Amino acid sequence: MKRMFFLIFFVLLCCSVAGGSEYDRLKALEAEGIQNADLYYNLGVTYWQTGQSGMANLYFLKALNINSAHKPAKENLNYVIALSEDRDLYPEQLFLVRVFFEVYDFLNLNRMAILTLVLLILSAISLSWLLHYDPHKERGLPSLVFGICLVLFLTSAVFLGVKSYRQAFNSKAVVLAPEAELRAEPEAQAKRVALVHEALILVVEKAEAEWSLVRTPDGKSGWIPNQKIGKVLDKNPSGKA
Amino acid sequence: MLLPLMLIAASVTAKVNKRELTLAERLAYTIEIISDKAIRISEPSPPEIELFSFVNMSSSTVSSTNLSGGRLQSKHIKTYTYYYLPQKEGSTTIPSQDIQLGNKVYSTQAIQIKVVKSTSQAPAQRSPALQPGFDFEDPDLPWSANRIAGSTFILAFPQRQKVYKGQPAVVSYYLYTDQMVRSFNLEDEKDFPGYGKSVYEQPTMLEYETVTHQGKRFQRALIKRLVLLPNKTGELQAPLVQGMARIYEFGYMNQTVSSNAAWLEVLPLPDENVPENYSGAVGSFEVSETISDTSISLGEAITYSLRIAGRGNFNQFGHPQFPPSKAQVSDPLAIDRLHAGVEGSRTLYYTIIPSEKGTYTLPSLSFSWYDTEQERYRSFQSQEQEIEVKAANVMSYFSSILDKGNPQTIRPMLSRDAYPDYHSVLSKFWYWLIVFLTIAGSGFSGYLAWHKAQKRKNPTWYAQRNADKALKKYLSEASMAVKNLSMDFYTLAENGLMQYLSEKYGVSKRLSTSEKIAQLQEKNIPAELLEDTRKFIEICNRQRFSPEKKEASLLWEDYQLLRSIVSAFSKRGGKR
Repeated sequence: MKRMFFLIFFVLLCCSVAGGSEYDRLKALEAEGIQNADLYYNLGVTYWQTGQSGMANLYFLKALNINSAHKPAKENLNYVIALSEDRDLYPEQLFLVRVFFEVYDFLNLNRMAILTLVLLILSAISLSWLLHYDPHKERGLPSLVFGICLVLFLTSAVFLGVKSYRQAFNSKAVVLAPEAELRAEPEAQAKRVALVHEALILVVEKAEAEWSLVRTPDGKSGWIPNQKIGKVLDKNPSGKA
Repeated sequence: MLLPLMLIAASVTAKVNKRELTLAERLAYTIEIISDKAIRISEPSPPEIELFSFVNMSSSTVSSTNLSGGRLQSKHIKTYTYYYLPQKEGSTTIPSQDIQLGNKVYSTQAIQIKVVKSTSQAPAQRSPALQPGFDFEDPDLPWSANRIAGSTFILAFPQRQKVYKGQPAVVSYYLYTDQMVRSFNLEDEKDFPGYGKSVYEQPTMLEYETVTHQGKRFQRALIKRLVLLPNKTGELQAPLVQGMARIYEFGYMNQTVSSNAAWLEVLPLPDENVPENYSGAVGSFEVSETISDTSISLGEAITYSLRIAGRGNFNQFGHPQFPPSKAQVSDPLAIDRLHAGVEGSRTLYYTIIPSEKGTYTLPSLSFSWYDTEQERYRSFQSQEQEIEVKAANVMSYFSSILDKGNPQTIRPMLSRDAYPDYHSVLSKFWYWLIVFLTIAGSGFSGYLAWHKAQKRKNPTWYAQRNADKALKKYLSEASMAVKNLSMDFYTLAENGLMQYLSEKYGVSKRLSTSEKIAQLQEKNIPAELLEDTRKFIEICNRQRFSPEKKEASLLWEDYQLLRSIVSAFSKRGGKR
């Protein structure tokens, strides 16, 4: 019986050490400054396995910030949101809006950049075709092709700019504390605006040294202590595993 | 005691069972209404009596009709009786009560009451003293003597006397009574070692049924059902349930009751034919499986679900695991639809992500349990499933748009050997080089198109412009040669002049000098200018092959000649 006990204990110890070493390896890579969507995703899964849904969501968001088309991160983020206490705060999206955002997310920054480049080249070719077109012929077709290419290129360029800006200045944050209160003013005694729970995704509208003005998915704004949230662009969010 | 007030068509009287009573006795205050017409009034509220607390009330109606002297006479009697308990000694007065019958108000008389100390001869609380002539001894009343002497108790009934270790055993607890138990407040049950338990059923109100127990009729009501999960073999005593019964006996009284001891015999599970993967499940189960898809794209996930339904120790066995394969398989997510943790179904969801395209064989999953009905170990072995894994495509990314319920569980970690640092394409040099070349190419194309358009719209102007440019270029080179006193001046000057004239007047460059001059004559160019041109070309030809170096002054003269010729041609404008 004792042998069995020690055997089980040894196996459990090995498992925990193995799990810990994987987490340590991933954290070490992150500490080296490596930015990689799969790295952040795996850290998110590790945090989820240790019961830290806030940190899990934060790292899934970090993965999606680098690669918005990271499907596993997106699915896990949706999964954690569905299990979170504040899941009802997220507005229901219309089907067409969802389709738009799916396409928008599929075109991550690199894909969007390549698409923009291709559309630029196509626009240049179609422009050249239009300029060198036989003047005695009707120019409808080359004009149409050039117009379409130009509109697509400009649209793509705008989205590329937006994506690039959002990646560089991502204002999303996640509640890390089990629960936190949003205040009307950046003071602990100020009037309570809302009670939020771990793993809720917030948008930081204004950041100060100790407090941040945040907006919840259902549109409520309030101040929250910085120590209770983790920002997507923070290098060292406080987590334990 | 009878205090008549008014005897018109109706009378209202008030009476008490005793005017002097002890603390152990109860006061019955009765209002009796007699009328020759049907009495339709609302129930009078119980009067507040100092030194007494109100306990309960009852009412009765008696109607009779007599034929007297050829007249039909009716009599209706309505009685309201209020019961009080004395709180302390002293004297008090029951205040007068107003009763409205039709349009008339009748008032009762106030009654003096005295409460004295209890004496040894005083009747017990459970047997209230009854006033002679008063009808408290009516055997139909709930507080009659035979009911006061009734009994209330709890009996425990195990569903089975013999169960296997781990097999859920339901124990039902019934309240038996031949009294008027209006409510029952359960207290924590007393537990014994050897089992885990959960509440299977606990009714919110007492629903009586009539049963015979030991030859006597009782009313019984279920008060609780517990599920016991034995974790050791041998004799097992079920928990003792206890609580407070609120019994109505001439007022309410509380009585603590406890269940009897009930025993079960717990049998060990057989040691023979134990399946290898047996993880402790005991019960009666039906197992089924479903798979979300059999054809997916690489990177997509399939959900395999294993449903275990029936009755058993759902919370005491491990979940089956898939053997290793070429896929990432998540830990199962259990969704329970269980009653008391022992009855219902548990569905285990596994998220499976094949790691390469082709045909992926989902390995067999097995689940074993000890079937308490068939008294043997049983196993469920899932069929191996072939999953077609196609190459990933763009559309596979959007497969989740229509499937809002996906995923059922967290996706597992990705196995990566390395994590290369992320660099945006926008930070790459080649990207911006291509952008620059594309924009530059467009500009160049536009430039060419502009030239083409100008040539097409105004060919003369275009030709002259080109000629001027060429001349400028060659003259520039020629003037440099003059400054350097180089004999290359003549070569450059002749080439530049011929190039200029060719482009301006469309004279072929392949012709000889005399042929070019002949062609220029056809362009209406003055003979003097042509002569100067011919002379300059001859000088050029002569000096090109001359071994002697010319003096600077002569070189400068020839240069001035060239300028005068070019100037004369330029002033003429372009004509073809």
